[in-house]
Amino acid sequence: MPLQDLPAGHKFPSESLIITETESAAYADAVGDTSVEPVERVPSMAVVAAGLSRFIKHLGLANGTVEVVHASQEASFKRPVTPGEGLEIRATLKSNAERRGSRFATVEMLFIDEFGKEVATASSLIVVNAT
Amino acid sequence: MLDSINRTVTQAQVEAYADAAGDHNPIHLDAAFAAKTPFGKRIAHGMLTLAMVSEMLTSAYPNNWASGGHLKVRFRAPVFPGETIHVTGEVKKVTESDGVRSAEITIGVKKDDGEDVITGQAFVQLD
Repeated sequence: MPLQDLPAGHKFPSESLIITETESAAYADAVGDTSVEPVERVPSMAVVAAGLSRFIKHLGLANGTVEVVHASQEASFKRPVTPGEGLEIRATLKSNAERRGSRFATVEMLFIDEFGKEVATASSLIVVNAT
Repeated sequence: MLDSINRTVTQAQVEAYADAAGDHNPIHLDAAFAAKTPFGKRIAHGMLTLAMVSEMLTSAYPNNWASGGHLKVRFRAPVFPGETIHVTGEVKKVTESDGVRSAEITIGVKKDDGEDVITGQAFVQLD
């Protein structure tokens, strides 16, 4: 369903997320992060980035028909994530409004481990403009 | 002050990030598409820049950033490939509650000319 048709409070189907050693290393290499050993610990922001990318793709916002700009970001980290660890992403559309021809949408994401505990939370505000 | 990060963002890095993070939005990758946007050319992912903020905080607080860290930031301006950015963090205050000390850190990412790219705060426990 297009973003403009989704009400605030809409819950997206939960998705599984596994960041492998290879993916963790590729992320660290791409951003130039040497602060962690990525095959032992996933860089904290990689988890949020993976979740946000899925949300954007899920809504069909990465297909070149619209311009998407990231306006603000919140993130909280409860514990490090290990490569290969299975997580569940629970995402909710917290706000969705049009102002002056632009659509402002906030998605909140919870990253849950196999024991049902939160490992991270994030809230992203994106602005979508027609091209 | 936390140890700063100074880095030039390249288009090759943007493309590597797109693959690694799974974000192939054409505004980052497609020059023709980006030319039609108000930016006029390709821009780096905001999350690529924010990754450097997280890197700085991980370096400063190796365990406590990944376990209990929190940040809240705004993206103020796009970063164009070829631009150099400067990531900084300054402890604004330290508070104590129930015997646990926490730091509030002012986050800044600026370009060479001083333009703000990211502004915001981070919070991390110290004990």
